[in-house]
Amino acid sequence: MAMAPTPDRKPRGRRQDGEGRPGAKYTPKLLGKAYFQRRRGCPFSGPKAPKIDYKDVRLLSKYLSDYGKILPRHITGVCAEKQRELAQAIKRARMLALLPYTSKFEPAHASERSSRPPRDREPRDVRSEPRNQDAQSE
Amino acid sequence: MAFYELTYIIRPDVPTTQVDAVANKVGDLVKKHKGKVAKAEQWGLRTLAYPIKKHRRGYYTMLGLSSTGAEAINDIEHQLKLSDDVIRFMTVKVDELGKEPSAMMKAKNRAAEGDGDNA
Repeated sequence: MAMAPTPDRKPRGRRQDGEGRPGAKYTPKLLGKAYFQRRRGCPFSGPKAPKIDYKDVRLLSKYLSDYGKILPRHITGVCAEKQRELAQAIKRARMLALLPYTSKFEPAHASERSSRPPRDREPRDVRSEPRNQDAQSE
Repeated sequence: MAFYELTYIIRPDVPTTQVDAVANKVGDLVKKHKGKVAKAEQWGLRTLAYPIKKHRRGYYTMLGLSSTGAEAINDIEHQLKLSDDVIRFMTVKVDELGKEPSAMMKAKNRAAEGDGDNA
């Protein structure tokens, strides 16, 4: 029919049988295998898992941040039980000066910036931040 | 029967014979309490992660002790505390003493092998 398209119907292009319509089931065909295989289990569970030991500096240092703090579970994926064990081992290693309690992290490009490390903060949204905030604090 | 791992650090500015002297001293103490030194590892001179008593490096030794009671451990720790050469020590109760060398020794051997390949 030679009618003009109604305003509520968008031009469909080459799409067929309702895919992309609101409410239709979306399957990420193009995202590939990596999208589904991102989740990994706890690195200390399973048959070939390494044993957590305060003497194994190489292993433990993988679970420290650049500042020498113990990384949280949601980053490393360690299960709760092993995280407790891991924390104990790291604290023992620290006592024997095998691992640092704190260490200064100095990336090359940050040398000219302020000495206060810009961490533990949400990235500031510059556009939504009111401009006059600096003026108020002064 | 209990197993313990005793690790201590000796200050780096004493003669290396002192490392063995302290180990012997601990061994005698363990014997006095009818215990046994089941395992002894010298990790050698290592750089400390942070300075201890103004020392930046130290000689590490790990001893695996067996069938020594809490009394023996108290005595050994007391003697280590009095010793001027020992700058840090730690005793950990473990379920068992592994037969094979610890991760530290493995890392050391790996480093040594790497050097051998390069040379």
